[in-house]
Amino acid sequence: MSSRRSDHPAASSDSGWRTTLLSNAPLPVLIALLIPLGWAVGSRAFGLYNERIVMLVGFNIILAVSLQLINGFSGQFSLGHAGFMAIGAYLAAYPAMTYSRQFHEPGVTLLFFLSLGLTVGIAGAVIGGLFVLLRQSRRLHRSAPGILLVLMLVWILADFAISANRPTPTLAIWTHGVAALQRLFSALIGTGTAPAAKLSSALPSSIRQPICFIILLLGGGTCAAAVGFIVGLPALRLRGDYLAIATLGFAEIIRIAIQNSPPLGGALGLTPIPKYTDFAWLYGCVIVTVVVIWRIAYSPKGRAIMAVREDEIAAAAIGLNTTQYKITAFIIGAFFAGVAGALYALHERSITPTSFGLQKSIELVVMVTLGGLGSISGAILAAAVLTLLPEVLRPVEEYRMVIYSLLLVVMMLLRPQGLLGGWELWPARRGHVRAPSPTVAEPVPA
Amino acid sequence: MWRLAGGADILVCLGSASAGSTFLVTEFLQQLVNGLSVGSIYALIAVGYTMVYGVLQLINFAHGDVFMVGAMVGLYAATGQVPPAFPWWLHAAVIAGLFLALLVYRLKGRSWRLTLGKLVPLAAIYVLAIPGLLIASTISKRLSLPTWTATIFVLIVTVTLCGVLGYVIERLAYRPLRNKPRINSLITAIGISLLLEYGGQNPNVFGATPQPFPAGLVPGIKGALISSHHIVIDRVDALVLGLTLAIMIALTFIVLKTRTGLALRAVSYRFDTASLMGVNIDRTISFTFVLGSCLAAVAGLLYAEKYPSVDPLMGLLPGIKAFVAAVFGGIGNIAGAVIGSLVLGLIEAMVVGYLPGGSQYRDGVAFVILIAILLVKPSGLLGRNVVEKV
Repeated sequence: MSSRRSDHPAASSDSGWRTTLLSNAPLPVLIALLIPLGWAVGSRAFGLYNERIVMLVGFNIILAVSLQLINGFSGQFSLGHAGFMAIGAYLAAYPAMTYSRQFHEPGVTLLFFLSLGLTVGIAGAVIGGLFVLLRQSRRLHRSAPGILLVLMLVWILADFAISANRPTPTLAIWTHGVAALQRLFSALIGTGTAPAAKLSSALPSSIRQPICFIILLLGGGTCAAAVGFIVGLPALRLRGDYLAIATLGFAEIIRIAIQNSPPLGGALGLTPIPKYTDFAWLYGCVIVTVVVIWRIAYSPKGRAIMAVREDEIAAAAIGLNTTQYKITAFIIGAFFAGVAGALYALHERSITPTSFGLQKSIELVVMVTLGGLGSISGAILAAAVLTLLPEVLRPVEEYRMVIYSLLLVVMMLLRPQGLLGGWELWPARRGHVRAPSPTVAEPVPA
Repeated sequence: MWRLAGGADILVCLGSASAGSTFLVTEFLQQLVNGLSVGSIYALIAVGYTMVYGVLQLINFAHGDVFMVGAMVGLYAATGQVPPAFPWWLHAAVIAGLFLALLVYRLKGRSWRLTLGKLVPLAAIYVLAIPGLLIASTISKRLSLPTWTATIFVLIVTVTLCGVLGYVIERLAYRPLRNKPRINSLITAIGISLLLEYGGQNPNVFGATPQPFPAGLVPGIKGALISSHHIVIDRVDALVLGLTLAIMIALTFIVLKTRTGLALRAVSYRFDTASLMGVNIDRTISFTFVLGSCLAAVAGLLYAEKYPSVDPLMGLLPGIKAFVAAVFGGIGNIAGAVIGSLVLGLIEAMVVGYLPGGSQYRDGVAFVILIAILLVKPSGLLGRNVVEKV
């Protein structure tokens, strides 16, 4: 564990009541600050442009904080966060447009996600089981690269064969399989629609829309988390730069796959998506995200995650399951990126694959690093500053991004550890904190 | 056209899966030439990536933009245009920023003399660059374009400027962070890359709109070298292939037979041991950056000659693909970078040529290859496996 944790204000202060007060203060203060802001955003005088910026800050805070868990706390350098955001955005926007009837059908929306999960789960189980049988290996993560490789090849070949209109016998399995899955999916939707609609109408009409919205957010997030699991399983075997490149590649593949998928609108994107996200929902999600990630990062599990960051071999030597912790952090990060994507899609009215490209991932990594790796408040601060900076520089339009990039370089040169450099603005732990004990959270097997 | 008769069933089968026509050897050869031509441009860029990674373990994200600067400078040098003037205060700001930046670093425990010693060359480079460009453009106006003198002149100007740019980038953005975690250098690399892209988009430098590159930069480059019903080899492609081959031979000579090359290999093998053996690390790293940037400049010129349109964002995609190629071949390994680039170029050409709707997947292919190689053999085709010791 790094020494910088041990001289943390919370750890060094011994008087319990002061720490308790300090560590509980930020949340009410934050909410107290947000209420007038929300009131101002709601008023007409605030203007659409300013409102948009405030919303952008919110999306970026969720994304940066969730990336902080992956890059800052677990130390796994991911350059593909925009890919998870894209998954969340598209898989919330699509049902919102097709099934939710302006958010009046929470039941059918839920049905969509359940059917999707069941269909993909069956397909995954079949393919995964096949590979486990083939390789006679009980350990799925060993055969995951092979599964992915074959899937990619088959995907390309299938596209090739379908457009050439001459399926060969091997490809027939694939095309029939895909057709079967499609039938399964539509059958599930078909049989489920009536009960689901009954379920929706059973709900009081005042909470129908919020519930549908929450289902869309959670659904988008869960899909992103599932993709994070599939991507993370093979990718997290890699380290350092290689992991960064692999996540970059996965994110680009996700983007190109969306770009070439007709139901998701291809390169033109999806439009019009019904709008629901507003200030209160967005910043509510921001608070939930920050609190959840905070509680995870500074919990015993979080310390285990940080131990993996500090020294993977040493962490494994004291009995931590390093792969599991890395993947857990990756999945949680991907989940919140998906939620942010869903919020974004349900705010923007139209989304295109280009807005989830490499540029977005890089922007997020810059936020996390400038805020200070391993600092949640740093990520929040940097997300706000780096979103506002280009807008503040609007008057010097031509030199705006030049100044932005120069500041980035100068900032890194002058303060390589980032704005907060692994510190938090307020104490990390609630209540009285003992000095860090030499043991890490997990019991060490004798 | 000579079609394959019944003997080569496999080829016919392959072909029948595509658009329904029989497989044509000539068409295949054509794709082969296209692929090799694009691949060798990637190779020129990828070598820069791989050499820098070899000595610093740094992904130099700005490398693709040096390639773009090469094409831009080439355009200015070839047409004799002067880049639209910077306002005076911008020059002042750049020089002041330069002074400030170096003062902050060098004053940490260094004397004034040392600081000035480091500062003066950088300032001189900047001050001399603008008049240099002006003189260059006047000269190139005198030279009528499709002559060998003009071509060589453009080549020299471009390569020199990009070499200097590579040196300055390393000096200002990477050297101060050499002992810090690598993520920091990665962020400055991203910053420099953004700086070059957005700086290039500034109307005072280049402007955001694509500009046509003079297609006949080299005398007699237009038209085809070999042209029949079966196969067309453009002279540009022949030039690209020939020049790349020559450069690669020269590079091999530099790396394997010269003292600087020895130093380069020593530094990339083990950084601190090399310095104990008396290798000047700073100079070697600078040399690596300059060499890589010069190659990127040549690649920029060739690319612009092949696809004659230049804009400030043109470096993004070739840069990333060259990087993928370097990883594919085994990053840090020069021969690997070349092989990886050629293979990537070939695969792209084949995908575009043989898959219906393949041009949509053209950019995706690079990433699929990237993931595949990372999952199967992360050290790349020719890379050595590094065992981590506790």
